[in-house]
Amino acid sequence: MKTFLKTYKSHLLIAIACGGILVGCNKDLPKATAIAPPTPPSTVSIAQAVTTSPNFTFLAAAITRADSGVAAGSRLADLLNNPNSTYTVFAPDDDAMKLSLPALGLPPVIGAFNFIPVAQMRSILQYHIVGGERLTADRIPTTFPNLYLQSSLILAASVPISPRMSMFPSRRATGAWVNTIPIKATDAQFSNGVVHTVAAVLLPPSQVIAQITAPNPDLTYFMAAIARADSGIAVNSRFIDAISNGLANLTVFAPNNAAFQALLTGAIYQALVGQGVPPATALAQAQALASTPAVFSNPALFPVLTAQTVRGIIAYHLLGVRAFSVNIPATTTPVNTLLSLPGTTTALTVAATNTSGAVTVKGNANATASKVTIANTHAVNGVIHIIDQVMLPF
Amino acid sequence: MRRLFAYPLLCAIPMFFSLLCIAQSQTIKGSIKNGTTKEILPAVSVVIKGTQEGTYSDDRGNFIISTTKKLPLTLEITAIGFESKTVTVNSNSLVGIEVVLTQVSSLGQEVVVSATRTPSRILESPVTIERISTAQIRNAPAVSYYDILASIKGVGMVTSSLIFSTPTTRGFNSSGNLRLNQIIDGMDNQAPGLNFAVGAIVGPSELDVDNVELLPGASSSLYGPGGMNGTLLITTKSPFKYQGLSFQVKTGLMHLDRSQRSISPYFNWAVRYAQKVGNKFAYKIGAELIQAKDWLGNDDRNYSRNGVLGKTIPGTRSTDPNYDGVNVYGDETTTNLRNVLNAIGAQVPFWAGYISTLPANIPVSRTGYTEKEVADPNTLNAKFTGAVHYKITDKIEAVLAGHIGFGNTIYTGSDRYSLKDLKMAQIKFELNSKNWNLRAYTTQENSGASHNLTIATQLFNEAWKPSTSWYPDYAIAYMNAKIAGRTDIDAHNAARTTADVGRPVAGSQQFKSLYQQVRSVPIPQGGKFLDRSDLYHVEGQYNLTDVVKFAEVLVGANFRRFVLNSQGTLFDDKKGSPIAINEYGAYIQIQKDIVKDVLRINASGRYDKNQNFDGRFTPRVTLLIKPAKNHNIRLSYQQAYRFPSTQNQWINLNVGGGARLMGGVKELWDKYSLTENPAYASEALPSRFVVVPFTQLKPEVVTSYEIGYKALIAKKILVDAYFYNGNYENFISSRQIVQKANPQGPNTDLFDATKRLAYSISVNSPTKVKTFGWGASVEYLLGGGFSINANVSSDEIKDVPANFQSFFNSPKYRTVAGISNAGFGPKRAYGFNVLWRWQDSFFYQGTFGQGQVDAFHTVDAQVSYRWVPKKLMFKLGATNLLNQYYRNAHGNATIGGLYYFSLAYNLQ
Repeated sequence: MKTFLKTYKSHLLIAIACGGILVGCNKDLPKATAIAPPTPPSTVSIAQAVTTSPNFTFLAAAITRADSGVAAGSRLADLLNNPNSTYTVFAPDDDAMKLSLPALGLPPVIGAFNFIPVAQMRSILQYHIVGGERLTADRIPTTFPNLYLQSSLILAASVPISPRMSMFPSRRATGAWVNTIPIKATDAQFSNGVVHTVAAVLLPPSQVIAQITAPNPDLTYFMAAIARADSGIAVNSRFIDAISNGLANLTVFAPNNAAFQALLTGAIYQALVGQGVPPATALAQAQALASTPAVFSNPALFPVLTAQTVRGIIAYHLLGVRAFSVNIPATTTPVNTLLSLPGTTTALTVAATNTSGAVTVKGNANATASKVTIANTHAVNGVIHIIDQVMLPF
Repeated sequence: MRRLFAYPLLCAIPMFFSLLCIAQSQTIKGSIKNGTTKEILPAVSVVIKGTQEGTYSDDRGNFIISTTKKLPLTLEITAIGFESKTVTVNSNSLVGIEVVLTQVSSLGQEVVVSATRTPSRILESPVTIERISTAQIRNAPAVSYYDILASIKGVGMVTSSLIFSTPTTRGFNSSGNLRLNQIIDGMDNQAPGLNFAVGAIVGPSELDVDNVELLPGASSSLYGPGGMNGTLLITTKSPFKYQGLSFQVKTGLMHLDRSQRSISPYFNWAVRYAQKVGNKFAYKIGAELIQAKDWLGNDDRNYSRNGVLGKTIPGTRSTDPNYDGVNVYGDETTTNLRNVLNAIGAQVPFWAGYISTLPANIPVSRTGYTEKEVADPNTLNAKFTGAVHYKITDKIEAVLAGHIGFGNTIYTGSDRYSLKDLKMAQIKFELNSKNWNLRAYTTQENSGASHNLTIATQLFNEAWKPSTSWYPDYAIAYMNAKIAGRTDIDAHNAARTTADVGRPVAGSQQFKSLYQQVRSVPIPQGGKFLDRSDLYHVEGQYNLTDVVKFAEVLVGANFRRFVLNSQGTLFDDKKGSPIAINEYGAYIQIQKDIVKDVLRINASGRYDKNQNFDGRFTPRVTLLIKPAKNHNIRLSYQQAYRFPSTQNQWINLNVGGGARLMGGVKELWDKYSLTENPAYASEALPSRFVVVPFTQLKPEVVTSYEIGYKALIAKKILVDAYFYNGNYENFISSRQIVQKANPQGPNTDLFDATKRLAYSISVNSPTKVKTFGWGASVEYLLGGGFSINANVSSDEIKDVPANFQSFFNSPKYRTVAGISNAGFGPKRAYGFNVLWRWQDSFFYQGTFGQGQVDAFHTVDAQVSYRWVPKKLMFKLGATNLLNQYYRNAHGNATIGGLYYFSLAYNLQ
């Protein structure tokens, strides 16, 4: 053994040396590598930007008000500071706040927020926030009417889907809006989202269309017409159900009482003359009959005002989208209504035009366009424009 | 089979008695010892000079010869590794002969058979040949004799799992290499339905292996179709020569660093018993049992599937919603979430606007399970062998032999497959004479409960929660999370958590019973494939040396029949009506010394015909030049080819994703009316509409030239070197085609997955590729039993067009170096062997996937001690001693260190 060791010592040493070199010389086996999240365009969070900017002192105060009494982690300030979140915020600057506070019956000072209940303050602010995406201006479409989005304001918590208060950013060559509020500055990028500055506070609507139209004394004919249109229709399929449903999304061109009176007087007069009544008598009778909304529930007039006819007229005044006046193009554009020819899915259109803020809509059979007299009454489930003439499809 | 055997036995019995009656016999007895160690020597050949009468020493070193030859006689006593000796026997010394043999080096003296189907010294082989002897197996650090192949120059190994490794030479390896024939005692070892050889699982036990010969490169001119990249021939021990009881108990430890599993034992128990009964009859039985917790395929990298051109990409389960881990299964199911969201948007209008701002393509995969979670961890392999040999006359020996193997293991095909309860049996009957042999055998395969891990896990997911409800749940949760302000990836992860609520935990009872249910149902409804295919083969060979004098002439012929039986789960067969494929072939070899002891020429040719293909002739010509004694230069030209595999011909399998794997026979084209309703090439769409016409499949061919040099210098240095090139034609590959579901439909239907039918068909590629390479080895005896060996080899491919998948799968360089001693120290009882292997990095292409395989080093080592008087050998060894995990193919198991101790009795 000794001689053996002597003889082969050098070989053994080489072998041991080789073995030593080998230890640790294989590369580690490749492992899965994480995809790094996209590098944010800024290291400053939205919350930090708001608190440090001289232009958002009101907003910072409003956030503080909304967060008072809220547990840490659930505060809006925390959410907007969370690096693992993404938001698009339509932020009112100080000028916007000063403009809007009087609309709430409050003076345009920071201290005014203390008069707004915390829950309401939170709701208002949540209505300015869209979660999950960086919706830069270029992602807001220029097509009619707008982008139907869900804000962070939850309407009703339910499983699996909780509806939220809808908001409607839009963009045109002339500018950008959210609902009817102009966007003053776009695309301020922060670590956890993008901020667009808006010119006024976005006040979330609190009522559905029916709650707004029903008590309006100038829409009593409109409501009576809906009741007539709904006669014989199953619950949940009626117009009243649609305009009462918080999840609906409608534009209502609601003709005022005068518009209905004019239309009905003409229609009844024609019918009476057709029956051989002398024109002067016919006119007096027609004016008398059309002088109250009960005209729609007068059985004697059912042959003239059939439920189907009224149904068609109402449907012709509803759009399945929410078109604010700012969304209506300057060039006259056909807009789909909820009325389609029986047996088809082709919607009948009205021609809408926005001439420097004055909106008109014209039915196919109307000689002249109806003027929007009161625009943009915002409801949870739609927007109401009151018009001065009933539109007729044929 | 039983009946076949009985007939010659009946003939033989009267002959046996008649010999006994006539002869005036005398009995010679003696024993043989090793002069150095004094240990008794079994399996030493003792032959009466000038006759074919002889025997071998038994396991106690004793021999007995009964002869009628007149005294005095001369006995020739020969054994590998010992100096031959002659002993004269006269009437005084009939019994009690004591022979003492002197140990010498056997370097370069070994005899090989497979190169020319006739015995020749390994030095004088006309083509490159490698041999593993029992002595090497005994002293190897490898845990199984099969793994020794990895240390031979030019051999590439692909290791699918602990017991499923596949060798190749000169490139083109894969798990289940179709281009390398493996022949065990004359029987082709391929599983007839799976197409690849299963020598490591169904074959002899290590104790029964006499030798392994490997012919690298093209070699089908003598052994028939398939040997494009080599032929491996395993010969087992004759019970006449190796007698008595042997056993080996090997126990080891794996997973020492617990990176894959907790530390687990490895068991390998083998036993062999052989007995000679009289001079004419001998039998042997053997068994081997291997049990371990297997290595794991644990490549968790993200894989991007793009037809056949996939690649690994960055991404983890929590950072890529469409993550598809290489060895993670079930996550291959993917869909565009945007389509699901759009459908939801139609129901939930207040989300539609938000959804419209999202990307058009949001790929999302289902949650997968790792290989560890779905694959049976227990690797089990049981092998049983048995043979009876009967010498009908001195010159004719009949053999009835069989082996059967059972296995649980994993291999990589187009997916990772769990071979579960795989059974394969081979039974043969043969008659051997000096100049001729006749052989008939059958291979019977049963895939048991084998299943495809990918498909089984995908279907498991569907069985637990169908994608039609999983994706909507995901989509709703994704929207909720996003609108609540979560970042996109957080929203995806939250959605996955919601959709996966109630997902069975791997290992739970719910998981087990559901998985069991899915994997037990045949493809495509489940993950199981049924395969009961068989192979029947008869062959004969005649050596015309006694008849033809001008040269050595050898002729042979064979017939084989495949019977494909998958009950429609793999092939286009039906229950009760399997598909038969017939093949026959014949060969001739002529060998002549042009200038005696200087120049020998050998020419051979082979003709084969498969019923589905045109006949094919393959020639081989070799020249052996001996410029000086023990220096040999070899030159060869040869062709090899393979018929398309049984799957290439008849597979008809609808795999996940809607594509049908289809064999290339006309019957299948007709079945799907691919001529009347034409098929279009997928790769040309949508820009061009290229009709793919039916083309008769052709065998794949390689033409190879080789030059080699082998020399024994000063009786202690053996060098061997070769250079080759190979030209491949008619590569068998697959092509993606699509057909309109409605024959009258417009061409645009071909773009719509719902209006088209997709096929992956077997075709010959028009691309020709060239390979070339070289190898060199040296073995140097240092004296005192010490030996160092080293080899280096290189393989390269060229002329590969861009985006062409050659599946060459070979590193440019491989090296091996080792130092060993089989006997040193007192009584030469100690032994050791240290072996280092390295291979370069290379790009691996497989049907399962492709990717870079890193270079790796690995060291195997063993030390042993022999307790000579008790015939016991103790061995302490390790493979991958440094426990540095490596993979040698994309998607395959990651191999770590295995540390073992073995106790063996009567290793011969």
